[in-house]
Amino acid sequence: MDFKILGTEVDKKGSTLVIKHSGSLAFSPAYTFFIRQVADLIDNNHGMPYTLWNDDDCEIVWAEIEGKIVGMICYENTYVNDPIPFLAIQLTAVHDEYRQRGIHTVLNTYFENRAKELNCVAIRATVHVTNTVRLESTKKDKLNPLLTVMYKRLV
Amino acid sequence: MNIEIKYNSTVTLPNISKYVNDQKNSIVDYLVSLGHSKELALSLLKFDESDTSVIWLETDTKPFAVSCFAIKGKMAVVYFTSCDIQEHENLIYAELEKFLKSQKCTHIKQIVSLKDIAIIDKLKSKGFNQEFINLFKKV
Repeated sequence: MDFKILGTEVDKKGSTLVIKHSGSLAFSPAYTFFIRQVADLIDNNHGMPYTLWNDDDCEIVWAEIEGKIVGMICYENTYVNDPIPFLAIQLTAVHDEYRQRGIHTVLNTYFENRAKELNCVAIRATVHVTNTVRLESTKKDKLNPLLTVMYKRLV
Repeated sequence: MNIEIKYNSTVTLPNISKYVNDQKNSIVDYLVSLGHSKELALSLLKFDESDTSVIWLETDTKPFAVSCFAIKGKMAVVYFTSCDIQEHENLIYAELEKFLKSQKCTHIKQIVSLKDIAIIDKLKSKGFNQEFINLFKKV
């Protein structure tokens, strides 16, 4: 499992965060953490019960405290050669027991740096309209609503 | 008027390709008139013509309504649906859904601008729900 240590940070409770990155979600050490968080999102009706990502098109940056994964941002890199190159967040999550410690903000900084490194001009997040917690955090991340995804069930 | 309903698995057929591009350009112009940059409007309507299906209505070999989409498993991603004559709008949407059901699709998805209230209202009137918001930040 290939990954790189990007750096260390200290969260609001004084714990040391080790920030790691893998260029592919597939076979990354954070894969099962990602899958569990996706399942939670679907169970909370904030995600669709189908796989809309391709493992090999996604990178992941995550934070560990004493070897335990406590948060991550998984993002798709298929739009980096578009006329408006951007990285698209598939999922951002912090472990239940580690929230309110600034971990997402730390990860978001690393994520945005990665976007700049890839010469992207923007980042994108997709959030369910009822996911009030994440919609609130998008304000802190300075994300602006631009598009809406509309669905219709045919059967 | 004798209306023919046609389908092709790519948008590359010469007789429909031009009509699709004309419709696409007019939607891009409309999005620009709403205040979006041309780049954003183009990227919203960006699709691979050889990997995008098209269903259209025509009379006397002249297309007058079209829908471009890609089928990904049970999900159909619609890029746009457009018609010259408003009264045929229901027909193109109905034919699109009939076709997608025949392909075992269970859901349709379409991404639209939050500024485009007209299309949001239209899709809602056709049974679509606004499920997700796409948010962007310049870096």
